[in-house]
Amino acid sequence: MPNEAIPLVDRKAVKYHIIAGFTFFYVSLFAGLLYALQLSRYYPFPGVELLSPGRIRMLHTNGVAYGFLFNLFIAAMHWIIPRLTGKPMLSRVLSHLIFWAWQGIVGATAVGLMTGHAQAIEWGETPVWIDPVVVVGAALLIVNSATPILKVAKRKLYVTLWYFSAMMVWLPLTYVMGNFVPQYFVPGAGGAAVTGLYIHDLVGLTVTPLGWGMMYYFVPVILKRPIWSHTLSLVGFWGLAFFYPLNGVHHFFWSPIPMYAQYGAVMSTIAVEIVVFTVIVNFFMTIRGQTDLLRSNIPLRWFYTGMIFYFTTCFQCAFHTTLTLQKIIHFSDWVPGHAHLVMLGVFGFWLIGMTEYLWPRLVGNEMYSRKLSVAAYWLSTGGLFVMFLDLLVAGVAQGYLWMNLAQWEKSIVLSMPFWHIRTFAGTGIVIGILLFGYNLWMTAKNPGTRTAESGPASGRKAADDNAEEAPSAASSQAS
Amino acid sequence: MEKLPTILLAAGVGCFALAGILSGYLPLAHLGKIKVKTVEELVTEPSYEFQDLAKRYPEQFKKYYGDANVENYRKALKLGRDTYIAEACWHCHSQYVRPVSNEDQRFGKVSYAEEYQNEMFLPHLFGTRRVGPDLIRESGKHGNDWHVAHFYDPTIVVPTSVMPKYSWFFDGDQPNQKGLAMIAYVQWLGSWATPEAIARAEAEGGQK
Amino acid sequence: MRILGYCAIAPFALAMTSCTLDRDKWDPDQLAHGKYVAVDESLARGRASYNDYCAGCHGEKGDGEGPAAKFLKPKPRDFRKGKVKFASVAAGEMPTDDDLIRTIQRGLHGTSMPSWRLLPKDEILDIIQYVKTFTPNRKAPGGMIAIPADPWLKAPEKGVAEGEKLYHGLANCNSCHPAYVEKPKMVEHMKAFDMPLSGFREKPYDSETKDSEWGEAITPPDFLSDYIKSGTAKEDLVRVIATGVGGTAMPSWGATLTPKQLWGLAYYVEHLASLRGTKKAQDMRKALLEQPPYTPPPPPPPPPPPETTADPSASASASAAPSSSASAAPTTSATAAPK
Repeated sequence: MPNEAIPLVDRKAVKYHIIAGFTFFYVSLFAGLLYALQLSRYYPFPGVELLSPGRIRMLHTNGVAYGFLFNLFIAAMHWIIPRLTGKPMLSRVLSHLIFWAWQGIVGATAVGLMTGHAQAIEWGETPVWIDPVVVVGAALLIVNSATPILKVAKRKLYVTLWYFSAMMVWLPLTYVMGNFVPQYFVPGAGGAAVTGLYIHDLVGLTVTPLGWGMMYYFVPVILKRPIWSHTLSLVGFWGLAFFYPLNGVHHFFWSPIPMYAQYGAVMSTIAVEIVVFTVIVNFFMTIRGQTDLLRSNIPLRWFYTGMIFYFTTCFQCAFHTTLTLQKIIHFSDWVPGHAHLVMLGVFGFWLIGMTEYLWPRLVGNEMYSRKLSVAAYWLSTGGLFVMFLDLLVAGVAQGYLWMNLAQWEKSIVLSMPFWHIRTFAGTGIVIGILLFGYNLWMTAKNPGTRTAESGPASGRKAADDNAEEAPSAASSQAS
Repeated sequence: MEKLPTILLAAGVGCFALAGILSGYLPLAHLGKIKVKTVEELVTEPSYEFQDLAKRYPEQFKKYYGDANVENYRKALKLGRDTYIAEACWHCHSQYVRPVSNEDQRFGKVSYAEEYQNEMFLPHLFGTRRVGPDLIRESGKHGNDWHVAHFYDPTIVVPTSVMPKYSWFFDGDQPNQKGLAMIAYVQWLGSWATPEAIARAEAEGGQK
Repeated sequence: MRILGYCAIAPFALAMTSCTLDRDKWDPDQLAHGKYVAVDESLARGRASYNDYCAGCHGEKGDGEGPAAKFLKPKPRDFRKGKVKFASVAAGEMPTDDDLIRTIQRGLHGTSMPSWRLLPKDEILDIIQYVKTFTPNRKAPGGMIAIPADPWLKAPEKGVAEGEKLYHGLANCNSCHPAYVEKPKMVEHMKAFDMPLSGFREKPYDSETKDSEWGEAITPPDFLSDYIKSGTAKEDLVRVIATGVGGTAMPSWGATLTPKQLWGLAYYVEHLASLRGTKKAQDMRKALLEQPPYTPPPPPPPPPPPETTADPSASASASAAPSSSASAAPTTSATAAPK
């Protein structure tokens, strides 16, 4: 029901956020590659203060989180929320203000980190003087995107909007709690408990709801059929809301945080796995009978690969959260392996898939090359899978060496081949994403396939766009 | 269950608050029984290592800190902690010894809550990964000169090391303000729980 | 996948090829003088471990000139000399394998030599065999200096008191180490052993830096504040006192002092070291520095002192006659360093 005067979707905002997101993605990827080179002892800039590997590592993690993931999630919100509510975002000016504010925040964070102003909160290394600005930026984003949802608040909302609207409450609470409490008020183990909550809430209550919200929208749209079970959607959402935030302390097992909190974290983490299972079942039942689309439809392929990785990573989580396995794998390379699978393999892949789906619609061209898209998919997936398995094995080996009281240096010597493989696999990922970016670039530049207006380019895509009403149909159908 | 107010209040605020209470506030209240010390209460005299730095690098020390007294020691510790954070040392070095995996055999006494209840652990530096060893029991394990060489270029001391070199902690090959602060800080970590300190505390406790 | 496999194997393969050894260089008979007999494989393993753990400071050639050496004081040991500071043989003699094992496992506290206690014993033995190959014309280890049984077990306080007397009296430890009693008391302790008194050092409550054979001046530890390198247990202290510290001004006392005296000194030093870092140590030092001025009584004319009374350390060594080349000829020790 796009209004002719004011188009429902602010396509420009979506496009800008995607471009900015990928720009930061490349910065982060190269930062990650540089850090991997440090561990392989081939660091190209030794002894340069502004390119110190320790700082580069923070650039990698924060660039991915705030530069890549959040930019693309904001793009997703700009695309999805108006379509599901039928109402535009509060203000275009505000959208553009938020865009520039957010790039300013991420850019300032990058500069702050590289000049040595980091904060010692994992995933919140954002310098302390930027933290309040982030809160303001997030508040503006929430005001902007909550308005359309509030306008339809009397209706029953579609699953995606449950996730999105709950996230709008969780994000500021999480950010304020994590960045201010351990920094100014609570030292030591108590602060660690809060930091654990923060790290986990940022993943579980911000990134995950955004990600699943997106999936609940795009998958039915592409498949042109509703989600298999509305009940399982409900279980998934409420399970996540209830159990996920209770996991926080599992980042600091066997620490001086009181043991009851640690036991609680173990149990709720295992509970999350059950919830995850219901969501995964729901999505795989939705695609049942149409799996051939995974071969032809590349966005869908990224989405479902991400879901398989999501299941893997949560399954892994349920195991390594047990205190028994923690003894071995905590502090080892197992953890970065796990983190890469979650952040890149799940949310990164979903967002790349979303870009693959949205980009032709935004620039009005067919994707420049399907071969490049496929190559990007296989290089990234292959690279990530090799990296994940490599770090997994490295982590177990390191853990056992430490446990067996081997001289510390032995764990480094042992890790060396694994770290070389990780650099190699990481290079694969970087090349894959570079190909992807080149494909986007050529798509935007190439006027060959441009259709009369910036609408869908082919009959197939027109059908896709029409199918965008599917989710709300699904909602009403199931209820 | 599908209405906005329910979602905002029950899921958004309710679940968050529940988790906040169970795994944030409860441990926090529990640990709150231990008094949080300020740096002034915690550090009452300059450490042996700090004085040793003053002897080893008299010119640099004089230039950046003056005397090896307690105020300058506190200043150095704070700067060292800030540098430790700025360089993200805590991404590769943890700061707690777990009661499992023979860690007390490797590093020393298992970590306990009291030792973190002070301003120097605001924010805490538990860390997330151990590429290098844990540092909370580092005090006195190596000499100051070892640390100087190690910060200058870790591979010259530990040929297998993957730690980067920190040339900006040095004027030439002499540690500068940051370098001295880092060494003072690292040598402070766990100075309250070295075998010697534990024996002393036990002896003093026994006298009472 | 095959390429991946090669990538993984390549580093190991490289390491293997660089580990082949030149058998002719080493004479196994030389190495066998220690308790443990070296075999070729052991040397190869020892070299690998040495290069991983030790070469940074001690140098790949064992000359104590590794890339880190220029930062370190005291300097890393030069293995070509074949002697060490801390051993169970008389100072300056070849150490036994057990001595090397002890030093490697415990480290030297307060220096840049850390403790390697987590290294498996086998690996340490391999390293030791390899380290021996650095010493040309290696001799057999010197005779172990027997450590008598502890006579003060039942009366530790008496041991400490005896130690204090000896420390400031007969053994005259305070000629290099700081004194820990007030001046009148020092005079009293000297008199108790009929020692000639020729005034105090300029700073009697600080250590006196001395030349050594290691190419650098060495300041003896102040037991109230410094780490004691080879350990603070009485057993360790007795060993160091009995054997001396190789290449430095610290002589061997094993042959000159009775077991009671040796252990007494150890009890006293252990007592001092136990105060390290306490309020008591600070107070003690403060009281010593702030004591009223004291002029020693004029030296009694008899007995005629030996030739070099001006140097308190020389007078101590003359009167107690400890068996150390380094302290008997302190002036030549610096020039005795090898090329």
